[in-house]
Amino acid sequence: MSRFAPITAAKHRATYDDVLVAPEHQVAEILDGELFLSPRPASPQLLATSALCARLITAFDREPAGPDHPGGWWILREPELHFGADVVVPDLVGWQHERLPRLPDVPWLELAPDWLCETLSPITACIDRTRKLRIYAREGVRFVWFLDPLTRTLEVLTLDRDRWIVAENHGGDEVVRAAPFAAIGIDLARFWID
Amino acid sequence: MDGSVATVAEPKRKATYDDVLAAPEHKVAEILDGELFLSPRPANRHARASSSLFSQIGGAFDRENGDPPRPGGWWILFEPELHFGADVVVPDIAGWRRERMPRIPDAPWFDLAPDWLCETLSPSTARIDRTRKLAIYARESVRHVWLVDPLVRTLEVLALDDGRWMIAETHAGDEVVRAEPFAAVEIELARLWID
Repeated sequence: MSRFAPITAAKHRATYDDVLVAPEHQVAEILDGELFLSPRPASPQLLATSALCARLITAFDREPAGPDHPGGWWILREPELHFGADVVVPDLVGWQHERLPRLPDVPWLELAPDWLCETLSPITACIDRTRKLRIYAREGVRFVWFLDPLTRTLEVLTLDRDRWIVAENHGGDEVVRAAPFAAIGIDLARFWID
Repeated sequence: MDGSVATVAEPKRKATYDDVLAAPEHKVAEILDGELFLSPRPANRHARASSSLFSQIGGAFDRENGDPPRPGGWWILFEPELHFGADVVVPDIAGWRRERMPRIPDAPWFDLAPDWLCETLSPSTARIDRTRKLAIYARESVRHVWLVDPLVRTLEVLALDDGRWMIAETHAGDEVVRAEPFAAVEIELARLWID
């Protein structure tokens, strides 16, 4: 087993109890019935996720309020999403208000987001690009961003029926307008550790 | 610039092939959208992935038409130099169907776009591969691109669909895969990685 692969528990069909007893310092997910434990993100990933989260919340959180604040979205960090028996924790997710008018007071959500972002690390990129991406297609997530601080790239994938299209590829110090948030410029240079 | 890809050009001057010829021996020189890029030679992990994949695909397909496990019908080349207009691109592995290119021209480079190519990603080159080179390959109508990431141990299979790249499939770890356009033969991914 690659040292870069998340550790999986013994091969029984995982249940939510396995998530509840998982160590605090790890992120527990159930993907296609198997338990995956990933280490918490390290600082390059945390910086990228935090910078993107801040930028999106500044512009899109809650109601529209002027040209720099198009609004209309709920943006959340590391929510627990339950899709049938699967438990998935993307780094960032967003729902448009039309699909989710009010954010319920719940421990997990079951409505697939309109957009989500996975911040890649050498340890998590494998399941992000394989198992989780397949689940996101199955659940009809329309936009997936892969943010990679190691390579300094942002990939935008869009769902076309049940297939992922590589819609955009950005990187380095670009100021990007990337779907579905193309109404604002996002300065990628702020996402990377110098 | 330790390990990372440098854009090297006097500003405002489009790079020419003379810049490629003048580049240091130990660097890989490419011209993408008129800019010169110098990449370090691949590290061991990258070299192992490219070599093993070249060996597995070349062994099965670089021959006259035949039957599985050696279906043939392709030319499979390692690091060929491709010239697309003013651009100079060097993928890690490229393949041409023999019906499209019955023989290999005795020339310093190719200007016929391959039917398939593979880029092995490294932290210093992945951005250029995904942004600049993928766009050039789409523009030149390369039908399939494989992206191998030896650090993460993934194989992404991209297929050109109406001018856009579609993710046809993604494999990982120790899988044994059949992936377009080489689905007639099993590829053992485990052989691409170093422990």
